[in-house]
Amino acid sequence: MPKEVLLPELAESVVEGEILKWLVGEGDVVAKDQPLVEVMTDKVTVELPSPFAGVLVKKLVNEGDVVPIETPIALIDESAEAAAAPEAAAAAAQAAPPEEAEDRGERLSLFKPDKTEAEVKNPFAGGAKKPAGPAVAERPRAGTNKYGRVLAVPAARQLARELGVDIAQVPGSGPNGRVRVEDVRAFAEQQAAPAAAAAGRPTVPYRTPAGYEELEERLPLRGLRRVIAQQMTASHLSAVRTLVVDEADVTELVALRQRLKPRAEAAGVKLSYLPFFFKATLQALRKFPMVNSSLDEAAGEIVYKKYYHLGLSVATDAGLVVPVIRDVDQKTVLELAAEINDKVARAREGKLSPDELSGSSFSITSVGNLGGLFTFPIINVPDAAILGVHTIQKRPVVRDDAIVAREMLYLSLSFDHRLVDGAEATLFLREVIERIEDPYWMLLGAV
Amino acid sequence: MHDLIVIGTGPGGYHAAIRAAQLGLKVAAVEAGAVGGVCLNVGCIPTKALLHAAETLEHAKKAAEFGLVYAEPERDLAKMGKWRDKIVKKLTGGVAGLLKGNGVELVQGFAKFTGPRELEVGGKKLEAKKIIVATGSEPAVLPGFEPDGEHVLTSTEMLEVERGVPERLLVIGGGVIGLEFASIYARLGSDVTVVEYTEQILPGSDPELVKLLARSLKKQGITIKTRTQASKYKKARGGLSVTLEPAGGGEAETVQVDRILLAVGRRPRSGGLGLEAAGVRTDERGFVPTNEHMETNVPGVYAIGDVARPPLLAHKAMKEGLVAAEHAAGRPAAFDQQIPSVVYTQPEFASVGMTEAEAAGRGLQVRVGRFPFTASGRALTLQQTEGVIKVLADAENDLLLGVHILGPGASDLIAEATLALEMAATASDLALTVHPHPTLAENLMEAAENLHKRAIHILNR
Ligand SMILES: Cc1cc2nc3c(=O)[nH]c(=O)nc-3n(C[C@H](O)[C@H](O)[C@H](O)COP(=O)(O)OP(=O)(O)OC[C@H]3O[C@@H](n4cnc5c(N)ncnc54)[C@H](O)[C@@H]3O)c2cc1C
Repeated sequence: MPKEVLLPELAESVVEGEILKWLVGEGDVVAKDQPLVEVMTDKVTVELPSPFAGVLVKKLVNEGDVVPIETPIALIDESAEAAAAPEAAAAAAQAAPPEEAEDRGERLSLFKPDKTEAEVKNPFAGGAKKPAGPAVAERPRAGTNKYGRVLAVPAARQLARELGVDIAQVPGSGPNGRVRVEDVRAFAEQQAAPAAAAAGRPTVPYRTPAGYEELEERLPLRGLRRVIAQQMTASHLSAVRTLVVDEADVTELVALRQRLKPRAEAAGVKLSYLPFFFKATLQALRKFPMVNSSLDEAAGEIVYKKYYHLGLSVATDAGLVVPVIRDVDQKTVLELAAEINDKVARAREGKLSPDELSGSSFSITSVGNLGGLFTFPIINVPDAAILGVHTIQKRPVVRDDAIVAREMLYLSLSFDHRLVDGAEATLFLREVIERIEDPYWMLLGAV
Repeated sequence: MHDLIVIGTGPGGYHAAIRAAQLGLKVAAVEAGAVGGVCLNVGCIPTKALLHAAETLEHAKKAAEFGLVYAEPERDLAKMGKWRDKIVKKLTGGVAGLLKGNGVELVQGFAKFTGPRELEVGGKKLEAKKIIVATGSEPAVLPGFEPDGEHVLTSTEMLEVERGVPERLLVIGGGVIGLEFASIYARLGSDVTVVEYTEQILPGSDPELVKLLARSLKKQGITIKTRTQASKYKKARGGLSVTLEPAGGGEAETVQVDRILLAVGRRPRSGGLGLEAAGVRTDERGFVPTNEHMETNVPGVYAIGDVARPPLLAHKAMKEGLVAAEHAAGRPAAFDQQIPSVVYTQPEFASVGMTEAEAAGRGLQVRVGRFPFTASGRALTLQQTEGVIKVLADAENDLLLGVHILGPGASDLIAEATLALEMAATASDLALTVHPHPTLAENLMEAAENLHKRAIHILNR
């Protein structure tokens, strides 16, 4: 009898993974610990080793599927003959799917009538809870769209009635925004969820301009792009993002770094400005604990953190990732420099572990090498804020009534106004600036 | 005390009664006439029986084309009538059996409201927690043409072919019922004239297809006069002399006929029912307005079928019956479906969804696909190549908006189109679905292909 391979818990609090690529074909022999499948979770890709040796009889999930942990993803036949005769096993796999798989398929079948009940019953009704609160189905509806009628399949209409959902409010995920059974159920579940949970988000309908169908190409939203899209939407919808921009005269910092570069290099570390920004930020965060907090919406509590884990946005070929430098308060500038270099390099190679990509309390994004004066960074939720640091450039400024050229830097602080007030944010940013403007003073307080 | 009483056992009423009983309610159905209502007794079923009989005559004639020559058929109208009755009896007996089998108590008699929860039937009081009004409709009348059972007849009387086939028949009203009877009698040998007050027969239907249908009917010997009004008639030597006036005014003409069929529509049977006693409102035309659950302004009192609202179609009444019964039983149910319609002329005419005019009225850009039955192999083998299928889609997103079919098998083909509309399918969905060959149904696929200029069996211009 073939054994099921379950998708393991890939990291703490990771609940699902996307099947990126099967590394073994059906009917192939696999050794124990041989990489079986590439799975992507919360921004990293991992190769899952096979838990046992045998023949991969059947893949239960397809590439591109997003599956919850503990889901069976493959069947491996451990028996000696199977291992010895992969062709036979492959043939068997085609001829008859193993019993368990068949069973499960049946259990999942939406249309299978409940044999124990004689009355007519909507097979879709099970599963979703009826939302609390007054039913909305009473009022007659007309002219809901340009067709005068919601686009929905009949079973979705009926399910909506049964769940007390106004079908006109359900965002449709089908072609032309057609409401499907799953959409109704998801909407009902969202409504039934506690008010603290994210509210239903209307999907933006996409429509090809008539006549331009041939000039469009469609690719599935997959992999890192999908994670980024989800992450950004979550950030955009949850945080009340507000911006404050300021500038710093970093002439001194430029000189200091220039001076320290050879020493760092002697220690085998390439010294950038980032570790200095990290230190300055750390010191400012200590003065403004609100900026290093998070909102636990479900609990209705503000979480103040006495640790300083700073995320750093890194652009990679595959997309944006945010490795986290932990315990910045316990590391020297040189140590920070080394760690930042290492994490950035491994991020670009896609070699970070899920744990290295989570748990930030504040983030920094270094942008502007490509152009642009300053950005309005999106918060790495549930952080309360993110700092954007930009290109250091000589600009004319007024000093003692004379125009002089100084090394100038724009900084933008994007903060969640639910947690941090405008004045606080402005003062926090000043704290950072004062330190990078006077790095010697900053180093006085450095670990 | 019943949980539910249904007044009327037409398609609406018997559907409601059976569904309510299935859901565990204690149900009674009151019927003043025959179980099965208009549809089974004097509507859908007997007309289709006679249409089939009359068409068979036509088929026999056309068989000569492929070398089967029949002797001139003998017409036994009494036997035709018996056959019609046999079908009706079988079906009405079936409905009565279903009512009984489901535990519905059948009460014979005319029901009258005495309050929102009580009725009087033949001097007896009946009470129910909920009541469904399914009293249907009756022929509308036209002043000057009061049915007299001899010269001016209603559809019910015209079903009695035993009365004989008039040499010349005037049909007043170019709607569904008028055209179906015109077809029956034209085939049985009458010289038929149809007068229609509006611009076209089947008012509101796709004008392009209606024009083709009118041409077809003319070929079958039916004279059609649109924008014409029958204003009066008098008995004359050897028949009836009928005055016809152009609708817009002008020179009147006189036609000589032997019989007149009054088919100017039907009116809801809401009068004499004591609706006032229950506080149920009717509109100015006599229909009983309801919400989407088929509930009237009085909670617990429902109205379904012809008495509730147009279109006067049996399948609409049936669906409304199910909705009302389920809602009365405390189930979530609402009427929000598309209603297809069929005219059983030869060729048949069927449609569902919007017409081009309706789509334009909504400000929609419409793309139209057409496919003629002349290009259909199956139609050729059936000797029925008249007609066209039209598929309408939103030019912006290909969403199917309507399907209009004139041609053989239209009554069955429209069901696929209705499902497609319910599923919010696109014209591409229809085009991409494999249809068996050779069938009439594949022409629907081809019409959808033509919408994208990709039909195979015609040049897509
Ligand atoms: C000639 C003809 C052909 C037709 N062909 C078609 C067709 O092919 N397809 C189609 O879809 N439709 C067709 N129709 C229309 C169809 O028959 C009606 O839409 C349908 O019958 C309506 O059903 P209903 O249940 O509303 O009422 P009805 O069928 O009219 O039934 C109402 C019943 O209620 C009873 N009743 C009325 N008042 C009372 C009372 N106070 N107490 C007790 N009982 C009462 C009546 O006796 C009757 O039996 C046709 C109609 C006609 C006239």
